[in-house]
Amino acid sequence: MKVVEKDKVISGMLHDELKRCQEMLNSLERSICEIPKGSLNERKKRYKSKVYSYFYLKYRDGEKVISKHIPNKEVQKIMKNLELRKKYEKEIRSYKKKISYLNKLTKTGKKSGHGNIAKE
Amino acid sequence: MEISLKNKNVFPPEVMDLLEAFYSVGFFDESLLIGSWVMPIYQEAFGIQYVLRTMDIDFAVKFALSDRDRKTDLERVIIDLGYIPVVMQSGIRKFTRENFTVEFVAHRKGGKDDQIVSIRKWNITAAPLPFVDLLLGFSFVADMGSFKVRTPLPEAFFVHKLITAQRRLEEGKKDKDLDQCSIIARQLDPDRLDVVVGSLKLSRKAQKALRASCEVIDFPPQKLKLK
Repeated sequence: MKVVEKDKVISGMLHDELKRCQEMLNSLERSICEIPKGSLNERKKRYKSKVYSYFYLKYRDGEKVISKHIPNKEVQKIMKNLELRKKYEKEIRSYKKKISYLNKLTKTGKKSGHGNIAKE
Repeated sequence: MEISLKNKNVFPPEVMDLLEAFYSVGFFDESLLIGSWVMPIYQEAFGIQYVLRTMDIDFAVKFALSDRDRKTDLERVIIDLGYIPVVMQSGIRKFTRENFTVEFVAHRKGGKDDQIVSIRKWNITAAPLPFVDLLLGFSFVADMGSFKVRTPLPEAFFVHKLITAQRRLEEGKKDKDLDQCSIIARQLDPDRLDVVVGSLKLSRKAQKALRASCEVIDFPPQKLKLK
């Protein structure tokens, strides 16, 4: 990585980029906490001659698996949010990958995680 | 001033899509593309060659006080292009897609230290920065064929960077600003530079910053009417 070491403009840009990615990752991780997680499932119940269906959200909370009933009027909203969560998760993965790459390039990487490199 | 670019494909497709979408809602009627992504336009229009780009694209937004203006949901336009909104620690909303970030800045008036400017006309938030009015006041339109992009004149961009470089907290950004200035300095139009400099009412602090930057890039401060 001789170019990175010698050229202070390129080195500065890479450090800035690393800092930007870390800030964005932190904000993405904060944002995703507010979006419901899990998968939406439909359960069908027979009662006498009729079949009733209802939706429930299944997600993990630590070691517990929770099934939460979702009223019909909230199903669309939950589906939309789960879709949005997928986008956030994809973006988070992409930033983590980039941070790992930039850490290698700038040679400031530490094994402890992603959040403390640019503050050095 | 409007310049038709010979090579219309100066941006990667995702940037072209974003700029075209902004143009289609009239964003570039008053607001500008700024930051390192103006460089491909400068290369085509003025022969200024600077190849380094960042992974964020910045726009300077003209702040309109009037509520009578037609409102456009620019946030929806950006989200429809596949970006996701992210609220930063400061409260600013940025947009990201595959590591590429869209963000907005607005002019910060002296004495104010707000962290966010809410631009209701566009349903976005912008980071207030000093001297953005210098960029907004001296711009030109680049004709990209199917759409047009408004950007600052290189002379305004140059003077703005000279002043703001000295205010940077991060050395890396300061070095990049001055590196860009040293490249742009070779292609400046003296008449346009005079007009830009003539419009400035600078504090002693800002004049000192200009002088310091001139010294670093070896640019004669007399050309900026500094003693």
